[in-house]
Amino acid sequence: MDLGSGEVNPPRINASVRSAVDGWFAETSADTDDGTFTRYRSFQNRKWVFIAVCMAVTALVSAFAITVGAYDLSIAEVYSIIWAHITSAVYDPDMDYIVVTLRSPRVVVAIVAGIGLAVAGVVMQSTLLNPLADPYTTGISSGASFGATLAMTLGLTVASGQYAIVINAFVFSLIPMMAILSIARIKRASPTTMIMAGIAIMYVFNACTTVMMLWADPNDMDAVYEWQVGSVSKNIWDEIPLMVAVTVAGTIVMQLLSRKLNVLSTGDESARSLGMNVDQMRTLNLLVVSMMTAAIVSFTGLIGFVGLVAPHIARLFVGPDNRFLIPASAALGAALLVCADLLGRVVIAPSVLPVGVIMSFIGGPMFLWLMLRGRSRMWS
Amino acid sequence: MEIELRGVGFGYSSERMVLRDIDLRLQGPGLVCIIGPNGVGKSTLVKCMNGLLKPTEGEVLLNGRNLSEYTPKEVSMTIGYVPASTNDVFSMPVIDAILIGRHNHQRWRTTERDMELVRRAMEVMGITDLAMQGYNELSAGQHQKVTLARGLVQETEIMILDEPTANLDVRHQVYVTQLLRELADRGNKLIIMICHDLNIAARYASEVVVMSPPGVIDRKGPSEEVFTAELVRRIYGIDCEIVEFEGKPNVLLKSDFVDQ
Repeated sequence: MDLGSGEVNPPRINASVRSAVDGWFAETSADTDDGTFTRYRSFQNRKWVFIAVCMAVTALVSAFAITVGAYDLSIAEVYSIIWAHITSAVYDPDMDYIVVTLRSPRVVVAIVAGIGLAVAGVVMQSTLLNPLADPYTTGISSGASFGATLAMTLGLTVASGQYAIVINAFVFSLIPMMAILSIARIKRASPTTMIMAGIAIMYVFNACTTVMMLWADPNDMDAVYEWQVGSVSKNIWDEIPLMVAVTVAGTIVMQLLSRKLNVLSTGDESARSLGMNVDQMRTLNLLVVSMMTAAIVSFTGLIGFVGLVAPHIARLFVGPDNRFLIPASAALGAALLVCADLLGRVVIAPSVLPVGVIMSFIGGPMFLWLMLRGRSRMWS
Repeated sequence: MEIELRGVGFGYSSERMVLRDIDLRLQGPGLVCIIGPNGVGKSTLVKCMNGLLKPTEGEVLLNGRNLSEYTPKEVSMTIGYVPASTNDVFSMPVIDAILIGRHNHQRWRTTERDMELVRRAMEVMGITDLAMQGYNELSAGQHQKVTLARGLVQETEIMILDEPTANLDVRHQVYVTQLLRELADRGNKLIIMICHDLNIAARYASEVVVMSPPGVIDRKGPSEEVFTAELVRRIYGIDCEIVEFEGKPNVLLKSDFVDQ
C-alpha cells in the first residue's frame, strides 16, 4: 500500500511556502545574516566576562579578607606569601603561619561552600524544573540539621570520634534525597511532586529537630544554635580536603553534563523524545549535588540563601544555558559568600555576624532589585 | 520510513483503556493528519509511536524492527517529536531553544552546521527577528513556531507533531500545514500531525487517519475518500455538508448538534 496513492489532486502550495522550503533545502547558505548571529556570539562572550568578573572579585576580596586582623598586611603581601607557600619558598614563617594556617581556612571554606551550594542550587533547579529548588526545599539541610542536633543534644551518633557531628549531619542529609528518589521511582512522580515530597520531609525533620531542642540540656543549645545559622569560621585545614574534593569533583561532573541538563530542563517529554533517559539523568544529578551539599553543610552548618539565589542572579546575567550558568553561579556563589563573611567580620567588629545572616541581609534586597530592574536590559 | 502498530492497546490503568486493538501502518513520504474528537487518544497514539508511552498490548514496528529493540537515542534520531504547546520553566533565547533540537548531533561545541540549520529553520518559520528574545516572552503562536523549528533541525526522517497548528492564526495554520506537506514531499519524510481543523486536514494531508471512541482507528485514507457527512456526524456529532472546493473536500458545518 503506497501512502497517498488515493489522493486525487495534490494540494496547491503557495509560492512563498515553496520558496521557504527552497531555502531549507538550498545547497549553499543564503548568507543573509543580518547580525543576529554576531549578536548571539557576542552575547555568549559576554557570559564569560560575567564569570571572569565574579572570579576576579572573589580573588580580590579573598585576599583583602586575609589582610583583616590584628596583624596588618597588604593585599600584595598576602598574594606573595601564598605564592611563596605554594612554591615552597616560605621566606617568613610567622607571616606564613598567620596567612596560611590562621586566616586562609575560613576564606577557602567560604569559596568552596559558595561554589558547591550555588552549583547544587543550579542543578536542582534545572533538574526538578523548579525555580524554588535548593538544599532547603529538597530537605537536605533539614536532614543535616537533624543529624547534627541529634549528635549535639542526645549524643546519638553513627560514628564516634572527632568528626561525629559532621558524619551524623552527612548521613542524615542524604536521607531526604534517598526518600525523594525512592518516591519518584515507585510512583513515577513528577518533578513537582518530588519538590513537594522534599518540603514534606523538611517539615518532618524540622519538627524532630525542634523536639530535640526542647528536650535538650540548655548548655548544648549554643552549639545547636550556632550550627543552624552556619558559619565558615571554625574550620581548620584538616577538615577542608573532603569538602574541596567533593565540591570540585561534583562541579566538574555537572559541568560535563551541562548540555544534557539543558535538554532536561526543557521538560520530561521533550527530553525523552530527544533520546534522554530522564529518570536516570535526574537520579544521577540529584545524587551528585546532594553529596556536594551534604559534604559542605555538615562542616559549615546551614548556610542558606546562596543555593537558591546565586543561580537566579547568575541567570539574570547569563541566561539559563547551564554550560554557562554552572560556572557563573559557582563564581558568583564564591564571591557572595566571601564578601558576606568579610562584611560579617567588619560590620560590628570585634563581634562577628554569621555569614548566613549577612547573606540574607545583603543578598535579599540585591536580588529583589535585580529582578525589578527587569531582565530585558541584560539580555541583548 | 514506516511505522506500524500491531494490535496496540494502551491504558493508564487496566479499567481505563485509551487505545484498543490498533492496527495501523503509516508509510512515507507524505503528510498524515490524525483527526478525532477530544480525548479519543490521538496524543496517546502518537506517543506510542515513538516510545514516549509503552503500549500495554501489541507492538510497534519502526522501519520493520520492533521499537523496543531500539535505544532511546536511536529512536530520537529517526523520529522527531514536537510536543503540544510547552512553556519552559527557564526562558532560553530562541536560538538556544532551537539548538536543543540538535542535541543528538552535538558533542560539546555548537558547530557551524548547527548554527546554519538553526538559521534556516528560523527563516522557514519566519521567526528570525525573534532570535535573541527569551522563549517565555513570546506569544503562544510564536512558541509554536519555535517548537516547530526545533523539530525541523532534528533532521529526522519521521516527524510527529502534536497539534502544530494550535494557537496559530488562520493564515499561519495554512502556512505551517503547507510547509509540512512540502517538506514531506520534497524532503522525503513521513510527517504525522494531530489536527483539529477538518478543512486543513482535508486539504493538505496525503492521508487522513480518523480516530473514534473508544480509542480505535475508524478509517484511514486520502481525504477525498474519508470525508463524508456521515463520518463527521458520527465522529463529532455535528451535521455538515461536504462540498468540493479547489479539488479537495470542504466541510461546511451546520448549526445543529446531534443529540448524543
